[in-house]
Amino acid sequence: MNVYIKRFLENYFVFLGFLVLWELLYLFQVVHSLILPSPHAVFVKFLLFFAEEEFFYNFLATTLRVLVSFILATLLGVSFGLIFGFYTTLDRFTEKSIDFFRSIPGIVLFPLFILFLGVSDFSRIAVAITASGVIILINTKYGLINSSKMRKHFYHLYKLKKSTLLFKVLLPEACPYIFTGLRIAISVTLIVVIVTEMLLGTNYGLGQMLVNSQLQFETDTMYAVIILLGITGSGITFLFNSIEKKIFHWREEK
Amino acid sequence: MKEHAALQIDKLNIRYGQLEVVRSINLNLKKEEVVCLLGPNGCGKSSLLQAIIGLTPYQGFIFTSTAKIDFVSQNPSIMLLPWLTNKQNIVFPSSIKEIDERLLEELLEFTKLKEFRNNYPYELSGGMAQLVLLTRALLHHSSLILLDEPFKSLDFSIAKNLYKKVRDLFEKYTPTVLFVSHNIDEALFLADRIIVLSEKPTQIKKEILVPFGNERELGILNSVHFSELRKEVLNECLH
Repeated sequence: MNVYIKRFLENYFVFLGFLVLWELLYLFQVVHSLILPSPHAVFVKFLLFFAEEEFFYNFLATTLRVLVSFILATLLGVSFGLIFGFYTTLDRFTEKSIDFFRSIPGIVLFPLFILFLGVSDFSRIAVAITASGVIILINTKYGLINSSKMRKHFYHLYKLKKSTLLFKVLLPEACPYIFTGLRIAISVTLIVVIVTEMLLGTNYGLGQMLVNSQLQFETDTMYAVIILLGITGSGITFLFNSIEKKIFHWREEK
Repeated sequence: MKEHAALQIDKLNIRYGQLEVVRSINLNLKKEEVVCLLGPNGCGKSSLLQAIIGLTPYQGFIFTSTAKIDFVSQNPSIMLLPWLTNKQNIVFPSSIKEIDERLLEELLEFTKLKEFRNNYPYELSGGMAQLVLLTRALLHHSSLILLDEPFKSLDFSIAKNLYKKVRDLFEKYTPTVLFVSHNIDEALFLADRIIVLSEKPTQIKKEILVPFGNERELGILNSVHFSELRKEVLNECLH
């Protein structure tokens, strides 16, 4: 068997099995077709998305919210992570507070942000930033703290400036940790944005599209959106893994 | 501090809790001298080097005539930055504009690292990686270089070719070098003076001057004179 076909079957065996089971459930009418439409009807709906103007606006709204939240979370998370990781005294004062906030599921802060920022995209983005920013901050901080102490000591011999030590010795070593944080954070951002779109206060977004289709019993649309989100999530993970492999080649070979 | 001394150590004591590692060591290194601390495994040779660079707490006095000290660890992967190429590692922490490019080219040529300049440290053998660190020290004109068992992980056939290369580097660029080893051949070939150390708590047993002159060929490893000296050093180590 061709290597690529073999690898494809290995990777997607469970997924293909799931599709077969779905088709069988539909064929034997185990579940009402309004609740569980056929996989091929969902697939056709999925393809038709790309011809619909409304879908384009929904997709664009969610993408923009995710991107803005993720970029701001990255800027804040990496900056504060570097500060707390480098100045460990400061970390001692803040560690417990950050642990406390980390333990709160980000989405439960949505009502709080609505109180302060109103029912708007600001609230949605603020929740996403909080949920993913903490992950990035923690990964950046521990990346820095866990960098080789011996290496740090040795490089004191060169009497490096603090900024050189941080940006040329410690930060590159912490980058794989930070990147792992980013990979988790973007998935969390996507989840939080979709959930906040499902709750209230917007006319556009994949979350809103998901809720509307469920309320109107357009279940083929609902399943197609779920599959689209699955594909988007896997695509992001694949992209991050590929970039990680290319940039941090030295980490694997170490 | 004595005149012409690059490093002066007086009454150095190192303890790890109750364990006395080094006891009252006095040592002077003249400028441009290559000295080997020879002793059994675990006798505290590496602790002594780490005390000089401030990594290990000690009692006593350590004076250096220079601020430019470099250290070549027995584990070069700790000191090399794996995300930089070998050339970038050699140049670091300076930028390429700040260094003497002619000297860099000369060193790369001399050490045969030229063909590996764009490779990464993980693509080098342990000995070559140590050569990268040594080249970095020489490029930055470090006046005192400390080497911690530089060829520990190498088999003899590879190590002896590096002995020659490293000794030639010492000869050409004249840094002051203090290195630790438990290999008598390595000590005799590279050093101008050997300090034989005792078991813990480490003290100096004997100092031996190595009479092979400055320029050394690998042939001396097979000479009668070398064998006699090896015997003498071995006797000192065993008694």
